[in-house]
Amino acid sequence: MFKLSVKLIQWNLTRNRLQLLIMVLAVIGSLSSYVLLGTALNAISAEIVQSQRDDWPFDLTIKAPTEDEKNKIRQIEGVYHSEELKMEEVYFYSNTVIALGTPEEETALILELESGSLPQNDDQVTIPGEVSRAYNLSIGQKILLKIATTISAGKEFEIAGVFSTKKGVTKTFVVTNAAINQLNMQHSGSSLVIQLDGKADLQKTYYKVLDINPKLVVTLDSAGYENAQVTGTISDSLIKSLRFLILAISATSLAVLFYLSQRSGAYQTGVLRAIGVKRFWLLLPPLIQICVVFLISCGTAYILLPILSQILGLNEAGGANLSSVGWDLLVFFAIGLLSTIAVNLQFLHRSIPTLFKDTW
Amino acid sequence: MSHNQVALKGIDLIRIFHLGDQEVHALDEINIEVYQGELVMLLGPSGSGKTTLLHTLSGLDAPDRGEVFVDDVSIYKLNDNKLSHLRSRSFGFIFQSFNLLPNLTALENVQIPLRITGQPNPVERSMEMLTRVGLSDRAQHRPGQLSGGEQQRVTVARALVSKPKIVFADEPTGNLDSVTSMEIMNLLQEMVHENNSACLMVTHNAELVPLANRVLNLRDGKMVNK
Repeated sequence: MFKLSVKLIQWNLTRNRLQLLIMVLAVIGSLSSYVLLGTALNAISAEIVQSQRDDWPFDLTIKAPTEDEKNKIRQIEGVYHSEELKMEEVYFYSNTVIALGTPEEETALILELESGSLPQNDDQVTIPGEVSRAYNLSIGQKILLKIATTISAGKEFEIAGVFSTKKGVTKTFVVTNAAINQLNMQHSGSSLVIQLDGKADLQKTYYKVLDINPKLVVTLDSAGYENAQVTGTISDSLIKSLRFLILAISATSLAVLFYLSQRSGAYQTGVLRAIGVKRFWLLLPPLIQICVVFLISCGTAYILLPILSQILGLNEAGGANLSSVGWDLLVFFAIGLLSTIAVNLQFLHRSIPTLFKDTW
Repeated sequence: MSHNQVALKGIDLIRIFHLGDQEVHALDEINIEVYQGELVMLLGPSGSGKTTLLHTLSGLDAPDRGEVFVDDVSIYKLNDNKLSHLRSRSFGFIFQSFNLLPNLTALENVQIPLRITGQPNPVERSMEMLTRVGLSDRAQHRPGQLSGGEQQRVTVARALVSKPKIVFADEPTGNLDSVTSMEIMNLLQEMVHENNSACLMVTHNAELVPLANRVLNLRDGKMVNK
């Protein structure tokens, strides 16, 4: 029976080569849409989430981790962006404010200036627009900043620039990194600030950081992250809905194609059933056929997708990635297999005289 | 085996088809017995229920009421796997449209019933059967390379290779010319008698009637004479 089954499989694959080609192309098309749309939407979703951030766009601040700890923290699932910042709590008049060392170029902070520039030397500061208005301060004037945690004389800074008051622009005082050290001789080193992707759980990420070193000092910005999560959930739902739609349409198309393929062999199937071939052996050839179709399609798609994504600008540097392609292929294959089984079981359960009468 | 042994029995068979609001009684309380070694022809006009009766008696289409017995086993009480097994072991089928698998050779097509049931020496036995039907030199040819008559000979060989108890033939000469039809019928008759199989055949061709041991006439789902 196995030898006969092999022959039946051969017959199934070769009796209509055009149909087989159409199926392969359909799977390649659907799979490419599924994967590329998913990566594009994921990239958009991440941008949308980050665009909803306020002036302090970080969810976790970890004080002075070692290099090794920083590397481990960056690997935690859900970490979207990380950077190192020198920061100190300082007194400005009677207020406690944050003074930052000049951030790196790829910073998530929005440093839009209303006037002037970022500090050019260790004696300069750029101040928030709201502070400038409240205290009637302007470029060239001097202010005193004192470390909040120690008794010190503080340091005088000349105002080099004023930040814009637009939503999302930073509301911190920015000095040079060396000036931070001058303000606090015992400055412990850069803090690692983290942005999550809007999907990760903040508390769980916090515990994962503590798993790396329980003595780390971690500050959470729960309120800010909640906003990001809401946006993330909405865009996530959109992505899932669209991808589900693609899967549903693909599954339906595949089921139709397989149904048409089986219909064309209805009479032969009826004869084989009549002479005693059991349903299982007749189910095997279409299952093998779907495996062959997927093997060819997925192999071709796996080679084509990176090229297509490059052409469409969905490369790694743009924030999107194809690391989930393997999982996507598996989901697609499972859907195809289930459709095939469903269609063929329904087909094989038709009465034999009905199969004989099928004049497809 | 005794000629009088009942190979197949149908009791009070009723089969109704629903066409929209209408009910069509394709079989109307049919009682039939087919004995071992005999060739029975079912005659009747189109729509009389001949093919439906053939399908019902051969385990292809369950009746709405009534029972079919083979070896005192009510075949429609068997599950699908057992019924398939019964068909592969005890029944042979010859259809009008030959129904050979196009990508198998004549020899491979004949082997199908033996391979389904896992019987020994399928190649040798199939080759013997092809020789018996006069196609030993065409064993490696595919159906597309054979004439209509040759294809039907292969079908006859396939139907009889496992020495079935009963052969069901639905218009076996329907697509053949008269000369070939007679050749096929003579061959079938010989082989059925050789194996002491029963043969139930549906045909429109009144010229074949003299070859039958018994002729049954159907009209509107009822047996009009025996």
